[in-house]
Amino acid sequence: MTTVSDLRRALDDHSADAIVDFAVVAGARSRGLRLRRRRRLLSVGTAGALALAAGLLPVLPVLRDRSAPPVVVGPAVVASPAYRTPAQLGITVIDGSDYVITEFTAQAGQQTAEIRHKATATTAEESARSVNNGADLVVYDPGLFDPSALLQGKQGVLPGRPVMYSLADPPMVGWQEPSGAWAVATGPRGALKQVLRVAADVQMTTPSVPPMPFRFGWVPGGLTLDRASTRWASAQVGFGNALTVSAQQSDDPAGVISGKTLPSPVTIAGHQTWYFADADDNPGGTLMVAAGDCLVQLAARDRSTVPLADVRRMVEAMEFATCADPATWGPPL
Amino acid sequence: MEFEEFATARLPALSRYAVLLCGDREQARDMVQEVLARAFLKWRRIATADDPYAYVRRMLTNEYLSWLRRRRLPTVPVDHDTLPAPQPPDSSDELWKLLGSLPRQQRAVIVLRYYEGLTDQQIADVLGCRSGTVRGYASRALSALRIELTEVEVLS
Repeated sequence: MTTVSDLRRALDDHSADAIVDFAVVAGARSRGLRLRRRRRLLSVGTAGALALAAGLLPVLPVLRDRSAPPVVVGPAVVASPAYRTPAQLGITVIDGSDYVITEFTAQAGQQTAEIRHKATATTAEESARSVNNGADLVVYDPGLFDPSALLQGKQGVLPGRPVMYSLADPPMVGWQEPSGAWAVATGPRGALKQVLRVAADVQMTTPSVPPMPFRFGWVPGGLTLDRASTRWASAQVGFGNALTVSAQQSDDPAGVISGKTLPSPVTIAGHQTWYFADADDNPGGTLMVAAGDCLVQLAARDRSTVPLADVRRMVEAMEFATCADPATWGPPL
Repeated sequence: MEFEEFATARLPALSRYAVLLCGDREQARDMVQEVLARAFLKWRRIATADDPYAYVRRMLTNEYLSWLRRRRLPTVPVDHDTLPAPQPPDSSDELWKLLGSLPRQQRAVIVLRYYEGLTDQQIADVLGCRSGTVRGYASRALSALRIELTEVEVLS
């Protein structure tokens, strides 16, 4: 018999799954400051932007032969190795689109993008609840998506692109690229037109490693870049399980770190840094770097694989951009 | 109380609450950061509230109940390699899996009642509904979770 005590115990047990990362506090404060600045700057223009957005009505799908049975394609097994490397991103939106990519992840097998309306993505912290704010897109590498469920939906056509769409919850719009990759956009309940609008503006480009607020001048031998992501003014890349490098905008990176019980700072290439080995028997180690407005962390899972000497050498050869200004970002390698 | 003081003190509790709500460590972390960012923006108002933690917890609950956070795509973990990583949920944990299958409101009620220890009226205040609705959510959730109530628990 399962009792309330069992339930309480399960909740207690799983509450320990939480990541208690105190960098979240600094990140929240930084994001709050950015949101405040944006709201002040754009408060006058918001009404105009929303009115403009409202005037651009969606391109509705033109239904094709509804009676035609969908073609069901089984999943292939192997992705084309020539399509892209795991850290490369090939998603963008067309010029003049009302939408922007606010967050993306590129990793083995798929790319994801959070696509939001310009007005809501830049003017208010409540954008997540705003009407008409966009859709989420996943692009699966060739052969890694089984489209059979999607192909049971309806057929439509957007400018230059036939699509399949489903009225299920959540509504889903998908299409296959010439590369063989499948792109699938989803949105909130009842917002199929919104998802179609986003899908109409999505464009695939030649995949490339996206800009980051740091550039590596040297990387330990054997490490391969295999993932990249950004969210607002923070970014991250990974080298397999060995090393993760992340950067987060902070108005006072050194201040954030100094307030904690960390070792005394060591200057590397003109930047204040702090190194600490993981507690207990954990083999990892992290070097935190205050670089301009960026708080950069180089986290090695195993100090014997990526020792401090290698991490120091990486920092010595690194260049840093302005985290708060993605226009200054460039290729990490 | 300054924002940083509050956030640092309450981060563990908010993080645990968030992970119980959404069941995903990364999503919970993102939710907490997003909510704290918005709390920072209106900190003057929150700081003067009777219970700032309850205020922010309500914001976090609303964040969880909003569709976009539920639809968030998985992202590459940020920073958590720097921390001792708790073990992921055991797949054999049937109760936890059942909890993950509950509708969001029902799950929120269960977490608020049995983890946060709120009364039904307090839960109603958090969710912006009537206490009767809370009891309805709880009843359906407990049924779905196959929880046997003792006589004392039924009466309470």
